Order: sequence, then structure tokens, then C-alpha cells
Amino acid sequence: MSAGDMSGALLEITDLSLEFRGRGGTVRALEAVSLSVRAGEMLGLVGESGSGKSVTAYALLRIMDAAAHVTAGQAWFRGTDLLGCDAAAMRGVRGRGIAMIFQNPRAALNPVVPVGRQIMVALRHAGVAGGARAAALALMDRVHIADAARRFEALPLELSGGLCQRIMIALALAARPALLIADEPTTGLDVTTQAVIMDLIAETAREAGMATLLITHDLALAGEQCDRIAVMHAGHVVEIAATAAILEQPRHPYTRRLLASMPQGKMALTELRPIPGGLPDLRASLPPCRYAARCERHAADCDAGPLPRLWQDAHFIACRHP
Amino acid sequence: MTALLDIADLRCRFPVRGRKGSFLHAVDGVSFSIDRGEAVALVGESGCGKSTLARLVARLIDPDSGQISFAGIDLVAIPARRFADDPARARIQMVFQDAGDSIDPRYTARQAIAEPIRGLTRQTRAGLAARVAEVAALAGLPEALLDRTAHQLSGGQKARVGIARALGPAPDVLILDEPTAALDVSVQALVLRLFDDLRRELGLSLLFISHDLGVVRLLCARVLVMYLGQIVESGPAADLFDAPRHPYTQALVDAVPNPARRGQRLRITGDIVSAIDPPANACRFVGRCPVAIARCRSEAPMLREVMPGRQVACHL
Repeated sequence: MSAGDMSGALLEITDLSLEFRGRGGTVRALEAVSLSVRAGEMLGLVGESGSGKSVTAYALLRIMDAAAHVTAGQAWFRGTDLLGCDAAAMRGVRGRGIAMIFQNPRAALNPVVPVGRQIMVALRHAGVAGGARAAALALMDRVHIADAARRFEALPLELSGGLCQRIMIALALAARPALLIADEPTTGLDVTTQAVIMDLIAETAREAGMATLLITHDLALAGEQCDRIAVMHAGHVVEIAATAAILEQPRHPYTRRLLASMPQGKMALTELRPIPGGLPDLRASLPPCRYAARCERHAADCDAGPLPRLWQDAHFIACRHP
Repeated sequence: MTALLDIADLRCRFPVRGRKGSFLHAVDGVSFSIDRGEAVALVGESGCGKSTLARLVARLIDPDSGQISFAGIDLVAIPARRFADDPARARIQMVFQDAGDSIDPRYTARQAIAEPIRGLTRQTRAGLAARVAEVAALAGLPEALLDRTAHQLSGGQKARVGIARALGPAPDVLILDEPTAALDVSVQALVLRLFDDLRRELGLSLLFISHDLGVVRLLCARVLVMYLGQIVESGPAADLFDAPRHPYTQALVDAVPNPARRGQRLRITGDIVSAIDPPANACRFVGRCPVAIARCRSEAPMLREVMPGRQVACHL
């Protein structure tokens, strides 16, 4: 086993580095990001804003801003390197191989086309020739949209945020993808709706045997839903492990502080420990460990060599002093 | 001891455009009080009327009926239009969700903080500068950042500008409308501690509007749960979250992600129904309630005290 347990990896990202080049300088948004998603699993990609979790997903589907440049790395998905393949191969991956749902579903849907027809278009694109309307209605049923026949002709504007996210999930399921990337799928929804939508994503993924990459800032949400969790900080993956190991035996100092800053259970306000400092400026020249300036375990040798990347059994830690 | 802020049977309806005689009952008979130095949470989902209630209490809009009594002053008697110039304006201040969007982008942090002080209190130029420095320090905003505009500040720093701005006129009550919703957890922790320090040290009363029960539990002693314009449960935070009595509160508690309770939670389905012309003789939660009985469809439950300090509006 190299770099941990790679058996059954559906998606294998190795050493992905990406930068944004602009007038203000070059932002090194991702540096040597390596992670894998196994067939059928739900992997949580967790970090604060600016940590690079969404950029990683956009890079995989090559839906990036023109200023973004992948400078190194590979991302193998079913025999295709997503970062190196041609545009035609990429079109074959999008939707059919990997589908994505977004934070603000109403903004991601076409505002002037009835939602049922949008699902029909996705189904035709996926190769469903006849009976697309019936198939679309069946998909709407599958994501538990009550009264699907009536909602079929509704515009996104006429539906609640929760219903729009259900439509997005139906669209994502249309081409039976092997991997679903869900980018903050419940942020901005009401709390009770959040819980129901998250259950729906988990349930449909399980039924379809679909792997899920769940991008979220909410470690508790990832903890409830995911099989494994990868933690990102300032463009680095700092820790990857099974969910229970991340929550109960976090090894990286950042993961520990992230957990300690999260309100949970019956803790008192004084027990909540904020993380000192902020994310480093990714335009500046940075030490090997980008958490060093905020880290309570920081030692002189942290700045010496390259960032260590340790696999201990199935637990990855990018830290010299875990 | 009489409460600092006492709200009684507050109602606010909005006419529905294009539907003559139809009204959206945004706030429908809400009563509660806040003592000096007390932190009270108002929780509920979008559309439940919590923001309208906040705007009523902050006297940005006028209620149809009901009382808002603040330190013995009847605030309803002062129309919202005139309230902006009233001395009482300085004593109730609001902190908004997205501090970045509620600050004029051309203003520096210093100018943004100075504006309400200048508008609401009489200050000499030196007094104004001193007050800005004082509240910036209270909000934990370093002097070096005061000459930056909003886009040169981080999310946490903008939140602090919003808080300093609200503190400027020396209020007694802060109304906090989802003040940490847009912040990362590490920053959220700092801002929550700041609110708690302000409450303890300055004796500020807080009305904290949020849907994040984890955060509410940390900051507030008492919680009001709102559903479709009405308070359906209230009580001490710890009791209410440990043993919710109303099925809606139960659903809110269960919706909080909790890794320890994977896959064993009560889920309510369906979206919040409309607050337009709600039926007078039924519980407003009945369509989504997992435990509703026939009586819930024929009789609206009243908010009643089930134990000292604990109120529930449910037949069950």
C-alpha cells in the first residue's frame, strides 16, 4: 500500500498544485494536494473559507476562472487524468462520471426553464431517448418531491431553497454518475431542511452506489455523514482519516483547534477555544508548513525541511510534531 | 424587578399584494421580556417572523398593535419614522448579519463607527474621536485597522466594525441578527466571547437571533422558539434543548449535526407553510408535525406555562 489504502480508489488526486495569477500577484491556492475517494464512500473535505476545498473540486471538473493555472499534479478517475485529458474526454466525465451540486441551488438552475424540463434535458444529455418526461418525474419522486407532476412546470423562483436543492440532486442523478461532488449543499438552507437534504444525499448515494465528495466548513456535519474526512488549511491537506479518528483522535494541531473552536454538546463559552491568527496571505512566500505561524506546537525544525507527509496505517498527517 | 424591555401581544401584518383582504401574519401576538444584562435567543427558520420581530423591537417599523415598553418608556407611541431622531434610538442598537454589506463601502472603519455616535449623541470633535477609539477597543479592533475600508478587512474584522458601530451610542440593548452566520468557526468563537464580555462588563441586554442552536446554547440563558409568527416554546436554554416539549423545538434540536447520534434523529418534512391568512382554529405546525392529533386541526394551542419559566404552545 502506497500512500495509505489505495485499493478501490475511484478518484486519485496526487500532488495537485494550483495558482491564481492576477495583477495583485500570484495566489498559491493549492500546494501538493493528494487525496483519494473510494468507490461508494462519502469523503468529507473540510476547512475554513479560503482553505482551497472548493478550488480542488473546480479543478477536477475544469470549471475554473481563467486566472487559475494547474502547475502540477494528476487526478485519475476511471483511467482518465482529469487534469491532462482533452476537452472531449472532459465532457464525457462531467455529468456521467462526476456530477456536482452547489451551495446556492436557485442560482445554479436555469431561471427561465421549468425545473422538470431541466431534468429532461439532463436525461437526454445522458442518453435517455424516449420517455424522458416519465423518467424526469420518476427522478423527482426519488428525491421526495411531493406532487411532482405539478412542480414539473414550476420555475426555480417559485420553489423554496430546499426544493431547488432537491431538483439539483435529481439533475445530478440523471446521468447516473459514479461520483457526486456536493459543495456546501445545505449552507443557506433552514436548519430542519439542511438535515433532510443531507439525509437525502446520503440515501441516494447509498442506493445508487455513488461515491460522494462532501465539501463543507462544518466538521460536525461531515462527522455525522462521512466515512472519512480530509482537513484542509491554506491550500494544504493537513490530515485525512476515518471520521471517528478525526473526531476522537485528531493528530494535526489545526484539526484539534478546529474541533475545539466548534460549539458542541454542553460545553461552556469559556471552553470554546478560538484559533489564533488568520489564514496566511497566499501571495507571500510561505514556510513549508502554512499553519506554522498559528501553531502551538511550532518548533524550529518545522521551517527547515519540506512539509512531512506521514501515513500511519490509514491516517495521514502533514505535520512534523503531531 | 421590572424587565428592561417588555413586549406584550405584539402584532404586525402585511397586506398581500394582488390579494385583497389577505394578510401575511408576520408577528402574531408575541409577548416576552428581557432583563438588564440578560441574553435571550430568538430561534426559528426563515419566514417565521423573527427578523420582523427584531425590526419592530428596534423600532424600524411600526406594529399594528401591542406594547413595547423600554425602561418605562412606551416605544410604540413613537412612530418608526420619528424614532430615528428620538433619544431612545441610541439605547437600542442592532448588529446585522453581514457587517460588510451594512457598512458604506467608501467609509473607513473609523468613519463607519463615528456616524451613529455623531447622529445620536452630542459630542465635541475630540469627544467623538475618543469615543470611536473607546468602542473600537471594546470590540477588539486594533487602531491600525481603523483607516481601512470594508473591502480591506477580513470577515471577522468587519463583524467587529459592525459591533463597534452599534456600541458607539452606548446602548442598553443590542439586537443581534445572525451576527456570526457568515463567519468561520474559529472567528465565530472570538465574536461570541466578545458578546458575552460586553454583556458581563457593560450590563448590555442581548436579543440574539439565530438558527444555530449550538451557538445559542453557548451565549444565551433563555430561548424563545418562533414558528409562523408565534412563540411556540420558551424557557431556560439548557432545559429547553435537553428536553424540548414542542415537536418543532425537538425537530430543531435534532437537526443540529451530531456525530454521536448518526442516523437516529427526528426529521420533519415539508417546508415552512405560508403565514398568509393562517387558520384561526388549528395549530400552525400541524401540517409538518409528526405527532399531531385531531384536536390540533380544530383548536389552536395557547402558550401556557408548564413549569416555572417554561412555556409551550402544544396540546400534547
